[in-house]
Amino acid sequence: MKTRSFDSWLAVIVLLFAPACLAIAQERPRFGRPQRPEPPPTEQKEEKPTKEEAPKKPKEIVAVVGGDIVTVTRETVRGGTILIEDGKITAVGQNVEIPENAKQIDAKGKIITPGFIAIDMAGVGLGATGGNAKYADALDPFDRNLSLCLSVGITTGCIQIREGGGFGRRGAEDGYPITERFLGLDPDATELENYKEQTERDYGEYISVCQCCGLPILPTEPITSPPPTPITPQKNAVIKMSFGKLDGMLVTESAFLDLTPGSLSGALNQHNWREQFAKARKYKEDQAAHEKATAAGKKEQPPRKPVSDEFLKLVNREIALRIPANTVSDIRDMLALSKELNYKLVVTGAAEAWVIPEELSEAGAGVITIPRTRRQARFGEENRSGTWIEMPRVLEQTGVPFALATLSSSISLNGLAGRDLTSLPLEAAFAIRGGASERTAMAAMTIVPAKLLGLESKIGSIEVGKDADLLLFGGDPLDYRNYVETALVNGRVVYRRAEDRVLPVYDR
Amino acid sequence: MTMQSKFMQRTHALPLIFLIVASQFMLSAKTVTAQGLIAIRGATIETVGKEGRIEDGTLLVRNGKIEAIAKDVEVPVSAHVIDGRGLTIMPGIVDPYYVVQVARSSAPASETRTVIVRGRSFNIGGGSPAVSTSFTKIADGISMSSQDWQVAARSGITSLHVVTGGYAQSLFAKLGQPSTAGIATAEIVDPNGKLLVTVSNDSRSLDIVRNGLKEPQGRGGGRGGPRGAPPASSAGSNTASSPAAGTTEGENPQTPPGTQGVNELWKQVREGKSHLFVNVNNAAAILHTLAAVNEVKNAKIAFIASGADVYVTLEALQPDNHMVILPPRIDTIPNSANLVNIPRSLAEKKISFAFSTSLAQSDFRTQQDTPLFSVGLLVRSGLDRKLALEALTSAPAKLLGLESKIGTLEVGKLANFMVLDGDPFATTTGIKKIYVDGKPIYEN
Repeated sequence: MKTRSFDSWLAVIVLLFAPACLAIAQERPRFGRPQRPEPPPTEQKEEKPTKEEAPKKPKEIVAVVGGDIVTVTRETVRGGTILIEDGKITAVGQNVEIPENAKQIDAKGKIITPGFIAIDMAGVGLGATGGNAKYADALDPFDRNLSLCLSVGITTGCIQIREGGGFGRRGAEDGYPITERFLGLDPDATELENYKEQTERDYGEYISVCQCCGLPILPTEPITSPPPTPITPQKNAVIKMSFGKLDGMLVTESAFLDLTPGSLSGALNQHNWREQFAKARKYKEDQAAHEKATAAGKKEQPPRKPVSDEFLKLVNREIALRIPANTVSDIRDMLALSKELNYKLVVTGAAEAWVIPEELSEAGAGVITIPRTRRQARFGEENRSGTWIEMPRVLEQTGVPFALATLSSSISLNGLAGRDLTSLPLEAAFAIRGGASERTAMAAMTIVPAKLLGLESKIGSIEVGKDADLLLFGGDPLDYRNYVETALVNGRVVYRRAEDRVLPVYDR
Repeated sequence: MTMQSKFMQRTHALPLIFLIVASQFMLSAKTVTAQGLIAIRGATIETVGKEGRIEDGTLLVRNGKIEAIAKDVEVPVSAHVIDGRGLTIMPGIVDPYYVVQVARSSAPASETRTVIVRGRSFNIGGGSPAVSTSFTKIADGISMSSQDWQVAARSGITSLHVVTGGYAQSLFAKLGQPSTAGIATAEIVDPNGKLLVTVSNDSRSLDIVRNGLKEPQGRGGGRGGPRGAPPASSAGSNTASSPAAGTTEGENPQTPPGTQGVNELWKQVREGKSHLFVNVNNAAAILHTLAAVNEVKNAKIAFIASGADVYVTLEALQPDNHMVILPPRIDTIPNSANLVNIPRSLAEKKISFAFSTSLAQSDFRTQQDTPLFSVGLLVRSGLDRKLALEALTSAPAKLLGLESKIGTLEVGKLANFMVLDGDPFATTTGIKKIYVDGKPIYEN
């Protein structure tokens, strides 16, 4: 029954959409916006669902009216209406008829964009998640950090989960000083940090990075025995900033297979990695044979699962591997492995991706980049190492999908502002500074991270059928002078600048 | 007398005077109770029952129970008559969540907890004190004489639901006669109280609730379940009824004392015969608990929550089976300086609630002898007066299933009441005297 009503809805939406598209094509003048709809045509549209849904809970209908809609994946709709039913977008366009029972949100003069996606997040919306704990149980929809995220437009986040707490920290690529990660080291000592930078500069791609501490290992040092355990990835979940409600907060419990920097460097690590793939593929075959046998009526033990569920998803290309790699050789290593073993790859950091964009594009790999990070070029290789401010332009032109991340993946209420999660739109501005188009910069916070997470059917753009995660801006969303005025998650208003008082409430 | 006793309690440095006064006090009490018949005449009586408020009424107590309560009561000649003019009588406060520290049955050695210090996590032995998954029966671990009941006595509390954090079974207690040194005492009325769980937004604590609410699935069904879950099979009660079967099977050799009745307690919760007392660590825990209990139709939850946590979850709380126990005070809206009267909001949403005056520890200790001060502020700022009185007395009594004995001043109920020197919710009102079972236990 549900699907049937959905089908009929689709038909209605298609009908609605056709004139809307025409309207866009004709470049209607702004004053040509539709007036409030007259009741008669509305009745015709409303009859079916109300009859069918009458015994159930009535649908919650919200209409965001009159804003300029930046759909990201399609053309921008000037002075359009977004119709939302039960948290999903059911119509977008200039000639959308608004049902009588719809709750209207006035967006005249506002710019509407899809909610931003923070692809690297920590310490938001989750309590302790140790041991066998389920993420669904750790959700805290009243976390203040949710409001802080929403204030800059983040409606979805891919959150790293470390055993023992929700406040996971990133590995060597993080901005935290190395000394902070070691007990007993003088926190003021910068020698280690300097040493790391110096060796990286001097030896470049000849060094590998220690898996545990992120310190460089020089090629002259004796090779120590590899850790005996197979490579264990970190856990990731995707949550929405659905403030005050548990429903729809957890999107998925496995977003990426996440590895720490250097976990796949070196022959032994790579050997282990290949072994795991071999085991997983063997298991898949055994499983298929087992299913066949049971279907034929045989009784036998199911094969033992040698790898985690997440790893199987990687093998099945359902999720991607996310791993930091910065130098050309590291990136090439990762690309080669992903091609050899046929899995999806997302490279984070990717400081020198601008040197080999074609290779990335050819391998179909995604990139997570922080436009404001800097990395010094190696001596004698100034034109093909280190960071280059024009990387966003290069990636755009080569068609490498890139998502934006922030320097620190958590919300920081201490120290200097401007490098934590709340600076995500600022990174987009820096991508534009580096030559990317505004469209690409916007996509790098919306549809691209959605694709990298494998959630492009749910989030990342304003399209019919997607979740109604919307932002209402007072002006250009990529201008630092403009604020998110209202944020909706799953069709529900979860943030209002004037009420939440996270950002200034004055009017310019 | 008032001056003298106050002086006495503040100094403690004059044991001689102290003893003399105390013994006099005891003697006078004994002479009254020997007859077992007390009448208080001319007082304003807040019955909190059907009679409502009785002006210039008489309360007649015989053998610790209320024999008559009305405007005109024929007082027997043998009764000890007390002039109640200018005084107000109301039922003694029933505290539905009086927290005590109890020696726990030792946590399993294998249990560890993770502590995060500056981003690093350490595993240390012993379970988290906040959310312990081992079951404790308070009656087994408490020493009533070693607790400090003085503060409860001075706050007008006559009946207590004695609870502790974590996963436990409460007990019911009442204030008793003060010791010969004048120190307040309490005694256990019923060692088999209600089921208590402290819930946070984590699987460990939520699993206790979820597994408990699950119908048991035959013998040994719960053995494979996560640690901390109560055994789903009724192994405990089996051993009790047929010791032979218990010894041969030996299913739970290390069952700590007190686990015996857990299954029965959960059964009562599932059938809606008794509330499950859920102390929530944060607002998220309210939503998680509601989600966990959603499918169990009859289960009733009493949420113990701060006003701020209730404020943010008001939308989710519905006037259904569940109720809220909260400290009586004006709260601030989270992340703001604005004040809000949460009990009033609950009343407007028709969600039942009860006050636990001991929950707000700082108020509780500073408002000695004037325990209704903060409730008075709530009444002044819009909380219905009748509801406020009920939330202190009859509502918690009903929640605890003791409404036939305590909570209101009606014929046949226990004579637990306090005598105040004015309107209960006037800010200047203080306690004059407190009676439990018709005997005075505290005098100001």
